[in-house]
Amino acid sequence: MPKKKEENLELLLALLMRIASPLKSIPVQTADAMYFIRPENIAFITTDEKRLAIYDLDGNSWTRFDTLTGLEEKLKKDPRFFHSHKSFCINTYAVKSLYKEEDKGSWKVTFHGSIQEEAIVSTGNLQAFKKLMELE
Amino acid sequence: MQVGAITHKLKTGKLVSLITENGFLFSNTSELIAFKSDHGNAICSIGDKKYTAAKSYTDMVKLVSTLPGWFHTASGLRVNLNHIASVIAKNDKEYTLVSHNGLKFDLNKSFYEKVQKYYDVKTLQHVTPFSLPQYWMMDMNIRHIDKDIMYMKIPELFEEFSTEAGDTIVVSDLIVNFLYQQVEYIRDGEDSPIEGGNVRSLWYMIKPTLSRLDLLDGTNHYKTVSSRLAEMVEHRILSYGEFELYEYGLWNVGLYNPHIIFLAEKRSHYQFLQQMQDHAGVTIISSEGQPSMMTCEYFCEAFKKKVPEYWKHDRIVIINIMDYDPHGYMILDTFIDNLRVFGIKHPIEIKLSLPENYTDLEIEFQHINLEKDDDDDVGNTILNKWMKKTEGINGNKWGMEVDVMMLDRPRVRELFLDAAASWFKIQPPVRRRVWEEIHGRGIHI
Repeated sequence: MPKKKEENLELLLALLMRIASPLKSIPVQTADAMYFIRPENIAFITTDEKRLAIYDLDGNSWTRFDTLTGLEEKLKKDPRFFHSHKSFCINTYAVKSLYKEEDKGSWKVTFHGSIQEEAIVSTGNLQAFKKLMELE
Repeated sequence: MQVGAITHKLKTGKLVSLITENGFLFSNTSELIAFKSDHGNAICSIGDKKYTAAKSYTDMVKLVSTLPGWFHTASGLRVNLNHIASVIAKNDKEYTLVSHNGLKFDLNKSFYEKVQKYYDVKTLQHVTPFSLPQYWMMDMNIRHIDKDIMYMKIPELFEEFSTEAGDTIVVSDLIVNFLYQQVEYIRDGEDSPIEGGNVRSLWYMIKPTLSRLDLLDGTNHYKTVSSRLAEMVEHRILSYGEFELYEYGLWNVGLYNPHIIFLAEKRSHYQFLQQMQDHAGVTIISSEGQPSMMTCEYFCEAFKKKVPEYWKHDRIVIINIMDYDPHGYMILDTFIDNLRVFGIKHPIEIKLSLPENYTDLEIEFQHINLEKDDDDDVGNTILNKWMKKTEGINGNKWGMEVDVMMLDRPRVRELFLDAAASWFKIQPPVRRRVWEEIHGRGIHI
């Protein structure tokens, strides 16, 4: 395949990846039903006591009962997900801003969509995150 | 690549022509939520509207047969799973698929497997791994209900909470869902409507609804509220703490040796426990008869906060002064069961009120004959089981009220210190008079 065509195909695939995750929907449990969340609609995943809380871009919180490590293993084929902190996995495609909290000094990210909740980027993962976001 | 998800996002697919009143509407397969057969026609759902397709049902089936996400889910029904938000298991054979805009479609058992494979899940009954609280919620038929139950009209209440015949309200179903709905509101950030109140405050909230339904008959539904709430707490579906109920239990977590719990059955012995706490820094609690689930929850939460290291790595020791009889043993068992519910497991249990700790004179003159002529079968069974476990006193069906021992407090103090000696982390006497410090503030720390 000519180089130009190959590049175009790669670009197309990358763009398609931005539109939809290559992964199946993630099932989550509510009181009376199983819901299916598209990975691209997830803002971030965090731990909440002995559960996982998945926040979507609409600001809804969903529950799962496995571990963050276990779920991250399932999500690793999707390049949008990044382990930003021991308790956070974030959708980098959905990140709107990165800022440093004045009083605590920790780094936080906000998201596009109507979600108000924010996720943390640990100092140890900051450099990798900045690289991913083309800040370095 | 999830082609179905991409076409769904881009709202693109194969052309579908739909018949309108005065012509045609052109849409595509990705916008279609489902279509069903009606006398050979395909009735299509798009948004909250329905149209007849220009093609026949058979031709529509052919049209979507190669498209990802389209599935046969029931007789004469094809559903685009890209539009499906959730699955509700009605039982192990029947399921309901719910679209993002709330439309419901049947999924029958014969078509289940393909849908399950599409979602790549072990079951459509529930998410795996599954949590026990979730199991109990399904078992108790607890569900999310949009409308505030207290403000539902009578037909709405019948629609939501009646038996299958539709003529009788299942009060228990209404109550558990009312309790869960209140906790959902609190979890969503609303203040507890009964902060500082008690379980009766919850009862007063739902009582008018039951009154409107003419259900305030001879049955004591306050008891239903109280018992169902305790059951939900026991299954960790919710907690008393979330309601911020007022809890007046007699307990206090020790500062120096909190992992040693000194438990008394009777309120009248609590002052003695406080003195022992002052001396040894142990945790103290009076169960006041059968310990309440609420007291245990508040106690355990405070206990776990105070002793995170101990309760993870060390054994918890419960030294207790209970009546030496079946009832005292049952109270202790209930207390230990309740601790387990709230995450404090496998404690070591040391009883002080045992025959060997009473004098011969006390046993001879102060024993209680546990055999009663009028005891029913249950009473006899309980007594016989207790006898098998303890042999009573020298083989007699006798018990001892712990108050006999408590008349000689220096002896109980010595027994306690002996029992606790090998478990102390900090040897008594501890430096400060802990109880006196916190008692004045009237709070549990």
